[in-house]
Amino acid sequence: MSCVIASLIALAAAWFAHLLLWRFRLPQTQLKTLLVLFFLTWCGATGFAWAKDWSFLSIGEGGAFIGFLYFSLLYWSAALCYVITYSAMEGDSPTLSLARYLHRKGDKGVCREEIEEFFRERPFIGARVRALVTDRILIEESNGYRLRSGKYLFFHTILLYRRMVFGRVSSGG
Amino acid sequence: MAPEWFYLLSPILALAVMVVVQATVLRARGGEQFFASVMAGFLAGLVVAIAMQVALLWVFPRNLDRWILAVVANPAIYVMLAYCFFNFINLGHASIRIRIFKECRDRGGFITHEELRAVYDDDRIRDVRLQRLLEGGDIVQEKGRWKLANPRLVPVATLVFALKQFVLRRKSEFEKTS
Repeated sequence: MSCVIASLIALAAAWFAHLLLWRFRLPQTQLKTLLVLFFLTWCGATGFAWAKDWSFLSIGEGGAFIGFLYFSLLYWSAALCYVITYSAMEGDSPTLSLARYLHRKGDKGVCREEIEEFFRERPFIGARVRALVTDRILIEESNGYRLRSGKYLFFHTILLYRRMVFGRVSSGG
Repeated sequence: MAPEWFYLLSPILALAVMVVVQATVLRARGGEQFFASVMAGFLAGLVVAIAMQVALLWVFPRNLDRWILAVVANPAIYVMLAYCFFNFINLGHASIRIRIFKECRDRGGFITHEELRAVYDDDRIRDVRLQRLLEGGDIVQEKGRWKLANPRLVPVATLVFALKQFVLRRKSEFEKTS
């Protein structure tokens, strides 16, 4: 099942390249760099397959084209899973951080003051705004933040889907 | 049409089932119990994915490639796509960045510091997340203290923080990289 093995090898190559680059220098726009790395690796693997005349990607009666589609689907599904998980690593999730904190406290639990202190030590909003500025989505000005011009298809798609399923998006939280 | 095309389409169709079932369940519950709707959608898609693999192996002649597609590749693709879909819809539910983007966009592309603080501040994040965890049964409040009631988030949190430690060499974004 060479297309499955090919996708695993390509993923491993991309992941090791990612670790090496991160050890050398942490990129400023980490998610974009990660996506570019996965894309370049996929291009490299595709180029290699083309050079080998696609022979090792062939599956049964489907031939090399279906083999290539399977390789791409496996590769990109796994790559996107990692990128999504990485975004959870890059910035702390308030919910997961709180769950971990409460787990450590056990049956004793925490009082209101301890929870307030926990959140005071973790300014999530400030960190997210800084991330939006670093990712060049917001421009910081003296009295606020301006949205940089751009299509932001990803953000709009998520908000549209949410509106379709949940209804109006409320502020806060 | 080669049978492998049906194999290739099966996890994608299973994902489509997950999307439809999740949206339907959530709408039927008036937008409440988000995670329950995701589980319902995932399980429905999983049943369809497994049923299709069994059907494909039954209908078409079997060989080693098709066995591996049905038993290894297709279930893996479905689970990974389901994970991607869950996180996609969860971003709209919980992502602070996307909400800040929305607030800025809705104000014509500019938001002042005061407006941002009025809509989002860390106290509000704290209160909304606590309420969400209470309503989801993850935590309980007893005699003025909060305790973990359901540890289901702990393995996820542990994994994420372990990966963070390995890849980024830090446990929290609020500590400096070593």
